Amino acid sequence: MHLVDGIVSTPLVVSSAIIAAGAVAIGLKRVDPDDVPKIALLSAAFFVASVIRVPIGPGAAHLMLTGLLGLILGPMIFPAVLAGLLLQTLMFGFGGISVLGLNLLNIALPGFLAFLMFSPLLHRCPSSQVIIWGAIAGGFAVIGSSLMVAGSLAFSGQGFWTAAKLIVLANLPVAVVEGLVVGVALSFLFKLKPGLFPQPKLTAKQAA
Amino acid sequence: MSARFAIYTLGLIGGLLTFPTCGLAHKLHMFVTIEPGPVVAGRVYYSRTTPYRRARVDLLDRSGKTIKSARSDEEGRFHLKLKDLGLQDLDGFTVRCETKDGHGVEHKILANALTGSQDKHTHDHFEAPQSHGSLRETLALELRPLKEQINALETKIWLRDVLGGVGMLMGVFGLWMFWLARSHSVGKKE
Repeated sequence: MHLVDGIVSTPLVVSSAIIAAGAVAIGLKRVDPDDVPKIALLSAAFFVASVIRVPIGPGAAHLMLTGLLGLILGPMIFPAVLAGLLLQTLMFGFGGISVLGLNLLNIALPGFLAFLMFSPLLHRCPSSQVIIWGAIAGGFAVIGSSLMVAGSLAFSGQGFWTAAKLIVLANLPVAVVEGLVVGVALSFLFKLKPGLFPQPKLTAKQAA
Repeated sequence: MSARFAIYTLGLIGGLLTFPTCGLAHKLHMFVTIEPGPVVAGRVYYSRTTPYRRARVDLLDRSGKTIKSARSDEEGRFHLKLKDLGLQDLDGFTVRCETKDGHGVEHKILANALTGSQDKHTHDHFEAPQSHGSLRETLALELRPLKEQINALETKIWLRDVLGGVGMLMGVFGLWMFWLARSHSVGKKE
């Protein structure tokens, strides 16, 4: 998931950095002082999960937990993932510093989309179904990130389908494992404290 | 944020750190050495125990043009045989390996790597060293496993590194929280 320097085209690097900066600014604007410990802990969970290598096929993949981060943090997922990603880049050389914005979008955006799509469902569904929707959200975030990485490579001149097939296939087992982890963690946390999970802001029509 | 949530998240982090059989790494590494022949040999790997199998490895000249390619074996090892190319100097040449999923690594050859590597000695049929050139080759071949081991140890991510990173994150967020709390209390006083 961590793209390295020199692989993607300059226009994509620049545009993704601008979009990522905007996303982080929106996330920071939503931060309340009480949220900071939550962001710190989940950022640390992302940092640790991403350095754990799972050998798959000819290469290796890793967990991300972005589905869990998205559902708990909402838009605050962007600063949380940025902190973890920046540290991984500086300490271990995972991904390039020039493509930090693109890597942030590839990893955090599917988590945020999972929040928009699955958070209202989690609040409405019976408690027995939380584990299922949590697992789907966790798997969705991994597959979404895989497709975004494939899209980034395709935009930079490599074949989308070749890259997508390779990356999605390599990450399918990870999506299953991550789905299970996120599903179990969510069902547990949801019983413990449902208020921990924010809901996307409703439109006036929906609220009515 | 409840204390229970903090305890469970820390439990999750601790659980991930004790993940069985999986090392702590997700970056492609490359070890490169020049062997008699001349042969550019090496290994591509994610960690000592996870080689990158069937990876395409290219040798690029100073202009960035690919002059030779090879595939890594099941252990991630590759051999680029350069005998037919008649090269005299590899200074400035690059060995590159890119995966189709966006990972990549490259190694620049800096010294005059082919000097003293032009004679007929090979790894399989080795003769006693008779000159400075062949002595150097003997040493190079003998030291290769040791160099490879040192390279793997240098690139390995240790548990202490990950714990250090977690500590750094906590420190940065702690400072942020301190700053937010301070500005909050200053705002209240005013």
